[in-house]
Amino acid sequence: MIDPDISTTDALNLLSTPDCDSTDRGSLDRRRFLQMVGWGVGAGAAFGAVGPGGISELLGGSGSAYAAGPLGANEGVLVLIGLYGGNDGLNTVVPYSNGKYWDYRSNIAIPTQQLHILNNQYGLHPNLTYLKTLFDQQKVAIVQGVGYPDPDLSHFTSMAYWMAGKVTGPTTSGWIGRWLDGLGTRADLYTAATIGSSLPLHLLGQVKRGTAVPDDGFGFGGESQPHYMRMYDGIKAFSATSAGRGQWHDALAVASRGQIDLARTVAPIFTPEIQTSELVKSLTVAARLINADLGFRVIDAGLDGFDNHSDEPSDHADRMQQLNDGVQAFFATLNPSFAGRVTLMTFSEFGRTPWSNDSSGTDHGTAAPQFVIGNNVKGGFYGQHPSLLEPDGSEIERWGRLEHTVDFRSLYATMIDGVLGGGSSTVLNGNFEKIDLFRPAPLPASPPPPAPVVVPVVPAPGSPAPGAPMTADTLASFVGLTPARLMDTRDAGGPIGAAGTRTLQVSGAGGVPGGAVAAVLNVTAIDGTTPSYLTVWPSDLAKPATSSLNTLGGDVVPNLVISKLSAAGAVNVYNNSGDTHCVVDVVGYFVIGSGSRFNSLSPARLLDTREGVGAPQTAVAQGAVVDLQVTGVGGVAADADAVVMNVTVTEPTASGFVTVWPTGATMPTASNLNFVPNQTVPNLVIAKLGAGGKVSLFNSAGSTQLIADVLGYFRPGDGARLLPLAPARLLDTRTDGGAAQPVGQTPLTLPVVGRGGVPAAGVAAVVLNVTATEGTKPGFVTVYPSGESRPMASNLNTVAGQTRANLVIAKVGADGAVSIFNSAGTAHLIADVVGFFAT
Amino acid sequence: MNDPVQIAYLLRRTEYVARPARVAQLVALPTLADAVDDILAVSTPVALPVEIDHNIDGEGWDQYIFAIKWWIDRMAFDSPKPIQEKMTFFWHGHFTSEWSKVSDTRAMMRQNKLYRDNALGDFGSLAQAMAIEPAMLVYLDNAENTKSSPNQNFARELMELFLLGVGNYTEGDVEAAARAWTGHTLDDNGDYWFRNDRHDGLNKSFFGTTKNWNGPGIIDEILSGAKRQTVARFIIAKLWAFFAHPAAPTAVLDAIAPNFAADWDIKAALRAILLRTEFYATTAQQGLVRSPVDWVVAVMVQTGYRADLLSPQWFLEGMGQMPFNPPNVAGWRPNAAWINTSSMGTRAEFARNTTWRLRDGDLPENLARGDMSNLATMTIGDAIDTLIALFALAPMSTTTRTALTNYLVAQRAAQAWPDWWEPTNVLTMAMLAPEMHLA
Repeated sequence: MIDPDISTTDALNLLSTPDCDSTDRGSLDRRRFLQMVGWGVGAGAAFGAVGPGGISELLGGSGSAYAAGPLGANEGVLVLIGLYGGNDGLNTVVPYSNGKYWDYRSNIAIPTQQLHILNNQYGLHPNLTYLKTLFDQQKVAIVQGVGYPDPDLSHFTSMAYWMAGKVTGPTTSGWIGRWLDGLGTRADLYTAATIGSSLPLHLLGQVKRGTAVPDDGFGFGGESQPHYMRMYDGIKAFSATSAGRGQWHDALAVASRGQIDLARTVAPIFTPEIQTSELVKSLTVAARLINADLGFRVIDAGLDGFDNHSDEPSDHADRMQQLNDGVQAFFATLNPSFAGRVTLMTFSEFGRTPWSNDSSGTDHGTAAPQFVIGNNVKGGFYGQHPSLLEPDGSEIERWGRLEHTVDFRSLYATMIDGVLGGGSSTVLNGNFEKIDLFRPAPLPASPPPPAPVVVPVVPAPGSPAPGAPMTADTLASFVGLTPARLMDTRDAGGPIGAAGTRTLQVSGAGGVPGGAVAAVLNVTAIDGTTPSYLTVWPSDLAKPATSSLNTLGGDVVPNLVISKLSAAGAVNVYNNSGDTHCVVDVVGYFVIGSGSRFNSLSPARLLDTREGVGAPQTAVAQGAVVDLQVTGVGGVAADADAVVMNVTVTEPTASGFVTVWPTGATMPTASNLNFVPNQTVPNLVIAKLGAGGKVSLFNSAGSTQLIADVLGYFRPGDGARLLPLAPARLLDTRTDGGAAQPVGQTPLTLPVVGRGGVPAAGVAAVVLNVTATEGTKPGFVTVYPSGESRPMASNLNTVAGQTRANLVIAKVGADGAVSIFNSAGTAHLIADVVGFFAT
Repeated sequence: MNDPVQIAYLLRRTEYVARPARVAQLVALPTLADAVDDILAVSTPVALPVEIDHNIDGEGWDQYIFAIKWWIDRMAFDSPKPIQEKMTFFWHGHFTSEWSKVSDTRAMMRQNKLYRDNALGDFGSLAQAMAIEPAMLVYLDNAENTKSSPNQNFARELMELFLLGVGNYTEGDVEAAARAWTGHTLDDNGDYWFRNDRHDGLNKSFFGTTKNWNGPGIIDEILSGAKRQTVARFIIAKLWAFFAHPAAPTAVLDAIAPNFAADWDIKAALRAILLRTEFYATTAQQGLVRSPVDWVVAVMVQTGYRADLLSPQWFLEGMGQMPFNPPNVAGWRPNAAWINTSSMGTRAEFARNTTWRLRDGDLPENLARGDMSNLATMTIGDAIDTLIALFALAPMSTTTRTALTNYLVAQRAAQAWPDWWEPTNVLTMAMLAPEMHLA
């Protein structure tokens, strides 16, 4: 077969490989190539040539070939991470101080303030948070400019070269496979494994081969009752002798035997079940395989999806997150006693073009950085970053590519001789300069990191009726998200008309899973044609007589909304009058099951740029980002993973918006509050915490002062959980009791328990949307527990003649009520309950 | 009259399984050529199931699963001429698209229909239609290929993987072809749309000719110019690998490719392949492993169980071959790709799953054949012969027969009839015999 991947010339070369002593043998080698170049993710096992030992060796004639054994005392373990599709090195280790990076990549360059800065030249992709932690611990070597001479731009040819460990000619065996060949009688079934359903070329030797371990374990072969054992023996006997029906018949028989032997050996590592997917899952399996000490020296895992010809900012960020989380899961799982001799290494068939294309993507390139990670690694930079200019100093042309500075075979030689016990010149058929990146003695093991947060998908519960009993089955825990835009009527659908309703599917979007029971949304009304209000409620219920935010028309008004979701995971958004655009961002959700719980705090000021609290005493400039420390401040626990705070903008000089998101994540397309010059605007913000327990706040325009008061936080473990409710109006001073009395400076007591679905007992806090309207003076509104003294904090700012709303999470007083205080003049107050917290 | 053994092999390769009625039908024909012509006599067009146009769940996962089951059932039961599905799968693996990127089952099924209706038709028409099929425009990013920023993805794979093979074009040809394909995109309904405003109407230099090339002209040039013999050998070799074994003899290429390059008649080329003596040689007969789809279809045909009953869609990914979702743009690889500890484990799981059905004498499907539990009441020799007949394992190798015999001896000694486990286990073993895994 002339494979699509190779030219006729190459095919002929393969047929005439010198060690092929027959046409049949030659075709076998070629087949192996054809399979193997297909690589690991989903394709590619080779089954082998008959070695010097003949069929008996192929069939594993010696029983010892199928026995597992512990690692020798000085044996290292190499974990390979294939980034398939061609990882974009320039957006992985970003040369942010090089102006050409910005020139070539205007539509995909990562803003400097989002990078994890490594030194004055390079920063890591924002999602490589854990790799930054390891880099700071000096356990990450970044080898720059890895590639090879005369690079090929075909995925398959280039991957074949990388896997084979050579850069020209036929690629019939892999570099790890040839290392296996050199091990003599060692049990090759337990020496090198790929996690997946097929074996990539690099694990295939001339004689020996690695094994494939599915990331879910084997569904067949692990039982131990006698009748099963007899069946297993029978299947293994299909390979008792050569059937005389050709090599494929024998190869199939041997594979069945290997499958049963391996399944029986590795079965214990798949308990407990691994809930994650992709690289996080395969590297968890890899760490467990190492912990089981079966003798594995090489474990291979792959991640695909790096061929980012378009939409790279989102797609590549997702891959970086997966890489980061995979490495974190690996070290969270690895027994620390192995940490000193395990080394991780990434590879990819090529980097990408220095220029981005108009699809916000990049095309096949050449050299790129690779990571080497471990306690035995001397952290830092190695090699040389390829020039972003031509040798004559001119710009690289549109289709130009980078020159490599380090041959990938140098990286391989470093691993073979540094981790795998030597023999690189034989395996690589030549001497390649080794990189001095290993320590003489490994760093001591540090405590394993926490496993990456994994949100299990749980079945959608039925909608509990209002006032449903609080049980573990109805109370929901919180999971914070990097904000994501779910709806923007300016882009799709057009404005919502008078008395119009839009249904918004929330679960399944923006990171919200199918089982979510409530969502935390930032809803913004934009450019309404007339004063109006919006109502958000679960889409399978009748529209309640409540409101979520108010607009004067012609303005931009955001408000935080916690809404119960319909059984199908959707909400309705209703606009009362005129036409208005509407934007909805999701910042988190509540789910029955594991997640974080709410802990309320007495309000404390975390940030006040007017006073130099939490940030320098200066207005936040246009485009600037404030990284705000949240954990450990103002009573927020060290293990908090999300914060509830009121963020206020004051003294803005232009019209703009503020975005709050987890530090370290890519800044989302989302906004939390909007302002016009000289306005003071608060909004409740619930934000997932990022790297170091921080959130980042971005100011889009002019300069402005920022204030943030913490009201509570979410953490795993102790705390209260939410029971979302169909919205119900608890208070409307315009109509209540027929009195229609506006509220002055005497606090109003609002009973909340036993009303609107809130049960009579066990309630820690209620979630209210509080609206002030028809105010006579500028001032503020404070909501606090009935019977307690009023704190110096505000939930809502009032403006004479305007209607303003804000979400409030209010602790309930001993009498089951909350107090509401209006600071100036009179105003009508409205309060709608949307849920409550209970412990 | 034809040779029944030869016809059985021909049918196994072209119709997944040598169904006894088909063997009898083709043996009765005067010549092998008549048998091949019968196999290749397909009718088109074939309508897609109406369900594909219904919104099962917003063109998402459920519809994808439906499509897989529909196609597998067509291969096993519903196509009057299974070669049509074999060849549809061939083109799916050649002019690939991945559901996971296209994200639209209906678009994938429209492409599937294109490949089925042209499976044995004119190669040039198929190549041109493939290029502007919406699934392909999305899959290889040509929908985003504009004159202001050409995207090379489709143009490169068109030459490297679809028509020519590496080494038969230059980097400059890729750049020119990418510019020629600019503006071939999709409209808001997801249908093909040529946008002149996004098309690069300037001169480009392709294969040595400088002119204002447009995308379809690039394919025309490849298929009618100096490279046509290269294309023909490339495609014939791949067809040979799919039906015979992965190393096409030079004599086969020399004999068939020139005719293919002259008329681009796929059916004529396949007919020539199936009539070559090399196709019936031992090298070919022992040279091909059933792909996961082929093996699953064989199990289904030989048990009579449809996809609804056996749910192959939950196993195929673990075996390494999910229909509509090849691992990469090069499609699936034969033989060794399917032989490893992991994929063999999933085949074993599927065999086990099928066994539970075969053991259930109450299933209507089993009434005609009889409950396989009665295997345990037969002599060991008869039980093995029954398995050979059930799964078409003849001629069974001595090694396999010895293994089955020794198992039955040991099992009967340990747990005499009525023992529930013996038939259960031996049925599983039969499906996992190398004779079953080979094509």
